[in-house]
Amino acid sequence: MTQKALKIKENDVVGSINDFLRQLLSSGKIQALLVPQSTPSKKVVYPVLIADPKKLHSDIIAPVLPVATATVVSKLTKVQPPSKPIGVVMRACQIRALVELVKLNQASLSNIIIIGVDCPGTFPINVYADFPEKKTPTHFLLETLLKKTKDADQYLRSACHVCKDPIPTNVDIVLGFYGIDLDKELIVEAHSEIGRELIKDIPLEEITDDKAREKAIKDQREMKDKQRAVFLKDKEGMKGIEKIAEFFDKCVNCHNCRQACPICYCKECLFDSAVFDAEAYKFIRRAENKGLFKLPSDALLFQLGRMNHMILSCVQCGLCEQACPNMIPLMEVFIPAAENAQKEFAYHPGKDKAEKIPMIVYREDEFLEVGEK
Amino acid sequence: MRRIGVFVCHCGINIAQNVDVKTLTEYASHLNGVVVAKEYKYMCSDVGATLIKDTIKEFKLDGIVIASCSPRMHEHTFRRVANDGGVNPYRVEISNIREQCSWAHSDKQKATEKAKYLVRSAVSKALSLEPLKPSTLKVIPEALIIGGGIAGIQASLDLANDGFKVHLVERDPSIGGHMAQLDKTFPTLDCSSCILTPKMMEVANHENIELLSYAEIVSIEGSIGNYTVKIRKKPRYVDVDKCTGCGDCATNCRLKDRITSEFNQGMGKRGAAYMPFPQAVPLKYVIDDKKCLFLTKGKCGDEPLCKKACAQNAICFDQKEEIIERKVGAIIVATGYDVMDPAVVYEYGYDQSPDVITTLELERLISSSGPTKGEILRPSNQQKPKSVTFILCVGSRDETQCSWCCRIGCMTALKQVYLLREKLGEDVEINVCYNDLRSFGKGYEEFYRKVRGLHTNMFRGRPSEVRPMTDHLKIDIFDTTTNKLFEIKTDMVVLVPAMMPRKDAAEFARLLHLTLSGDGFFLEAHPKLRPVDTFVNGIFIAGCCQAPKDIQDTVSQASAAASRATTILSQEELEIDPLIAMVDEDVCTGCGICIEVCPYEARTLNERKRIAEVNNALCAGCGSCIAACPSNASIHKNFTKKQLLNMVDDIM
Repeated sequence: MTQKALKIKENDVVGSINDFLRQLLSSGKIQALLVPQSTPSKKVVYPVLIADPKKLHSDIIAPVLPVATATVVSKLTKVQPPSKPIGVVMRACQIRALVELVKLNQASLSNIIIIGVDCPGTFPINVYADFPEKKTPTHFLLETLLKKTKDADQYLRSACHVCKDPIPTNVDIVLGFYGIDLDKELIVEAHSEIGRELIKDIPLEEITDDKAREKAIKDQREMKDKQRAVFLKDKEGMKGIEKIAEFFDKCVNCHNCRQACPICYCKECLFDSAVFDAEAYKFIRRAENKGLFKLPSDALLFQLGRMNHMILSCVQCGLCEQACPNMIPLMEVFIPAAENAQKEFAYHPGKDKAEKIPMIVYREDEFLEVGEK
Repeated sequence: MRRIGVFVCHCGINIAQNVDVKTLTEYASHLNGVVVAKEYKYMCSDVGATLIKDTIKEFKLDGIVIASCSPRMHEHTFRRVANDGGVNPYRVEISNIREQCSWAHSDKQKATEKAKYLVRSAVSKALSLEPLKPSTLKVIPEALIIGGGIAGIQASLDLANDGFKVHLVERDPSIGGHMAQLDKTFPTLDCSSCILTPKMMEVANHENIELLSYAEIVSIEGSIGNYTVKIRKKPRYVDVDKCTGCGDCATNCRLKDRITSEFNQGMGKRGAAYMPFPQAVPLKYVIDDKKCLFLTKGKCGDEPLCKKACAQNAICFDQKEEIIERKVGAIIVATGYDVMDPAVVYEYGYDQSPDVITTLELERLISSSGPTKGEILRPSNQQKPKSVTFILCVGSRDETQCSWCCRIGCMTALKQVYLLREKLGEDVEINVCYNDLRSFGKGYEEFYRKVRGLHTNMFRGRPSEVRPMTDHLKIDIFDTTTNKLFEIKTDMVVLVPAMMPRKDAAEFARLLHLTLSGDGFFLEAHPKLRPVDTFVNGIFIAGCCQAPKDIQDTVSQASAAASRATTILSQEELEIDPLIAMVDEDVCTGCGICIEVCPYEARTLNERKRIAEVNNALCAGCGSCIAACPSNASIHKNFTKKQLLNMVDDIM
């Protein structure tokens, strides 16, 4: 790994990063860059594919993740990967999701340069859009980060609050700011040969303190681990079909969660298909059997079915929860479910492209039948 | 509107005694889509079939439900009846009201209620069954036989004589298998070589048989009628086209008489250049690449003596292994068995005294072509023994080793008693320690009686121990017929060890997608009705790879397997069951999970369309892909999610 420092000019972190990205794009070594860039209204940042360096005004620090970047990269690469390299700026959870999609043949990393960004967490879209503080969310975040205060935490999405790992892995380049004095510099790491080649000709300097980042990351991980332990402990009672049914009471079967989830890769969800359609007499018979019958009937089945299909690959990005119109705190169920299910198969989604998804791995000793030795 | 007929079977009283068939039939006749319901005592009989066919015509039925036994029993029968009557055979639904209802319950009223639900659910499925048509596949009229023991030899000859090309693959340098090691065979005492060698020669000379000895299976792909087999031919280091079998290489080998002979069960010696046994087929020498000085060390004196001695210039040290490919329509597996290592039953002292031997070792001692030229000598002192004791069931019928009966041990021991008496004379004591004497075959019991008359001491029981003393062995045995403890002092002990699956049986089974039974032998498709079939269509099993058996049964099974293979090979085309998986191309995301979970390698990814595809010939309709696909893009014909949910809906 090569570590360099990107000097912050005129106290403008966002501007300095954009200068760096423009140089990257202008170098001709990559043909386009996928970056989070503000919409004209400034209400939100969206992934934008930029071909002309002059049009690049990204805000990679902006604490908001409206759509799954992994899904966007899947769309970009699935039918036919690019013939020349393109750079994609992604947060750690989205890189994990992308690795899962690659395993599922839904995305390609061919000619994809992953530029990971240290992630301090993101706010719900509405909080970001109508930010209650005087500053912009980005500036607010930069200040809390600089001062190492926990002020930003109050706005974080629950998934970010207990984030498993905010430091990007499986990357070519990392733009890091944990443990760095953002008044002065920002860290640029090259993790691969191509990453080194890309930053070679961009004027970067030696970093001033190479131990500080390591320590800051350690601190951050420890803090998240603590918050996570508390969160998981709180949810221990969430067991049994009745508790689960109650939890999903507010579900209106809109399937937004599946739309937002980077792992839900089906073209057509089974629960959107006609499989569950039935003749009127069958509905009436179901009502007759128990005296009553709740409709639509398949909301809970959908939630459990979706969980069954994606939970082993769940990267805990929390976009399902953000997408829920009725604010069901989905992470309260999905994080413990993901932890437990993944532990059963000793599986680490997003960690390593070569680690096979449990569905296709046969192990004689797992989940023995009752009575088997 | 669909027109379904329901046919309720009494199955004699099997169903009728616990299910009110009249009430059930009446109930079925009012179900949605049902135009007629009838009952009959034996729906599977000719009369039942006629009833179904006539009703189809009379009511213009387009689908039928049979409420009867398990579809495993008669689905095929009723599909044929439907077809004869003019209904697509895949529009037949069986409602199992016998195994899953009448046999399982005793309360007639409740069982009748349950039967109603089962029939209702079957009608629901029948309403949505698609008419299907089998596709066809060209058959390659050639067979692969794996294993060149007596089973493989018999099967090869049967098929070759029927006019089919046969590729016989044998792992060892010669065919013949265990039978070639035997001296005489029970109960008729014909000389084993005398009856086996002509068959081996016939294999070698048959124009329809390609003998691939010293070769192993690498992979098998494809399906019934069309398998592609890759075979590894191990280097013999002897050019078989030039070798005349003269033996000059073996005579001159520097390691002559210095390597333990496998064929003689470790009791004789051979060289690195050797012929496994005098009647070997092919009669070609082979050089042992694990022992040969030139092949292991790169140097054999100034030059390899075998090469120098060979007038034909047949020694060829630069031979390499070769992978060849053959295409066949059917496969017969006849890979035989391993003899259990009797040392694991440590109390019988097999690895503590040279005078404790096995039946197969004794067989080599008895054989005139064996290491002692047919003289019975104690291995420890090369003297004639004064007393020989047999211990039967060593490891067999023993929960700690092999729970099964080896089926040849009793008769082998009796035969050897007979031969020993013949060779050693009357003054030698012969003892037999047995559990039960099983002489079940034709002429076996008579043979047993004959041996009992030969002054043989029979002890019923398992000896507790064989104790090697200075110049003899001691055995303690409690005889359960006299309730007495005996101490036997004897010169030689012959153990009758268990027969086990081949060491690599499990690995080999995976290669062919075969199933193993609990004991580790290959599992037949049905123990009584499909004894040589496997669960893989087009692959048959014969001989001891299926279970221990004697030569008689092995040969019968081999002929049976050949005959079963003929039913495939004699057809130009085969019909492929249409009840298999398919892909909904609009829904498939091409994630490839189904490809990985398919045990039959029937699925591939179409890179251009980015979807999974099914090879109809390979798909066995097992449903693994259906369960694995999250998108419902994997569909099992006539077992769609919609059809199954309908059934569930109607059963609740």
